[in-house]
Amino acid sequence: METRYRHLFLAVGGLLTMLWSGSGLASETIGESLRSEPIIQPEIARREIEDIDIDEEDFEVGLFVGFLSIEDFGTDVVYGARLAYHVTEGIFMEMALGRSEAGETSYETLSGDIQLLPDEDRKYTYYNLSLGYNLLPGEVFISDQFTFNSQFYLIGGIGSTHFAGNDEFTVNIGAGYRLLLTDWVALHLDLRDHMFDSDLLGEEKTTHNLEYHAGLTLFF
Amino acid sequence: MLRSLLLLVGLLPLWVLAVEDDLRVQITAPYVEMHTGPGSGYPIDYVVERGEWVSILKRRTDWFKVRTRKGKQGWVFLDQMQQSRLSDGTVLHIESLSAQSFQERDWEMGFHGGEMDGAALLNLYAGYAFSPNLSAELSLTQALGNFSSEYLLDLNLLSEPFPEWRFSPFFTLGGGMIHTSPNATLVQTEDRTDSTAHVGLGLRVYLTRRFYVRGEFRHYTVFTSRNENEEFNQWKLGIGTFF
Repeated sequence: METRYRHLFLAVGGLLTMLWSGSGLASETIGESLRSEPIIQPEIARREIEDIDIDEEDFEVGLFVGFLSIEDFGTDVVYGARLAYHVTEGIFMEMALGRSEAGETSYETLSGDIQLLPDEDRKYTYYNLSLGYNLLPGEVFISDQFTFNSQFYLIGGIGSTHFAGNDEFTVNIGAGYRLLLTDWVALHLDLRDHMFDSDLLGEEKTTHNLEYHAGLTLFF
Repeated sequence: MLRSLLLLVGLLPLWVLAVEDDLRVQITAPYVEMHTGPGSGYPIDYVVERGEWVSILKRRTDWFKVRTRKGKQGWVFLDQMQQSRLSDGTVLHIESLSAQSFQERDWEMGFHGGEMDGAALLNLYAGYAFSPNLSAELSLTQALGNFSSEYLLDLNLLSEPFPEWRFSPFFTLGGGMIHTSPNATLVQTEDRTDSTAHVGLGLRVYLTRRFYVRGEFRHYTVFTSRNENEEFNQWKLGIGTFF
């Protein structure tokens, strides 16, 4: 029984293969005859349409380093990365990731060996999504040799902060200064206030965590 | 140091190639103003006359960096740049972005802020348009509650019946996962992951160029392993861009 089915399958398979290769052969011959004898010889040469390919540089990517003052926990180094997209000459959207580490509260320093937070919870990580506006475009003149374009911008957005084992909804507002060394390399100076509600030290309050940093970005 | 030098040397031929490939156009407008920077606030420090040839070096938003034959460089605005022609005499066609371009988009992306079941939320999304009316979206949401953090990964279809309207409503339907992780200060529950389904409706308002604002309401159902399913609502407002 089984061999009969196998034979049947083989026969059908063989037939299909023959049909398929046969039809391929047939269409190839027809195609060949068409190609060798064109019915109408085109008289107009086809117009070459130039593909306009202009290098668009609306994205800006970079790294930054600076200081973050974590409320009640002192000031420490912060570093991170940012990616921005320039929507118009004025408006840009920015995504940033930053990392810092909290120091000791004054209570911890004074009391000696009391620790409010274990070391692994002192890591401060944030990300944010912000909208910026280039408020004051300008130029900077350094001696009579160099002129650089610059922009003073206002920026604000929302994000999340991971600190002391909690994720907190964070609002950031700030301002920055972008100095364009060339068309595609920029220096940034940025001042930002990261605000979130925290009940870490007993009562719930809005903490202000001020950050200032310098950064280098590339447009692409 | 050595590696970056090597990289520079390696890139040099590419740069030379790019210089050779500059797009050259002839100005057909009576005159074209060259600004010192890519913005209307930057002063005009050079004027190119009709008939002159310039090379277009790059574009930033709606501004074009050009170089004249004498080597003078500056930035020209889109509507003046459009009044020029290529070496074969055809008009330089540059896409000026409008609400119409949104209907021809392939990709869009943006972010939202909002509220979900009493918790603040952050949402990042990207979408692909199959047609002006139908697109698929992938979105990642973090909801930050007092007692827990929730992460949502959603895949949804979005139908926009009137994409040509400036205020364009849309409907959405999809499903995904929700992951709940309690805050460190509470040590009673474990992390858990459940699947979800949602329906929603929203409004998109086109603003300018590649920029729009959009708001959305979604109703979620969570299929839990416990006895009853959970339901909650989500509101969000955000901005986006498209390509």
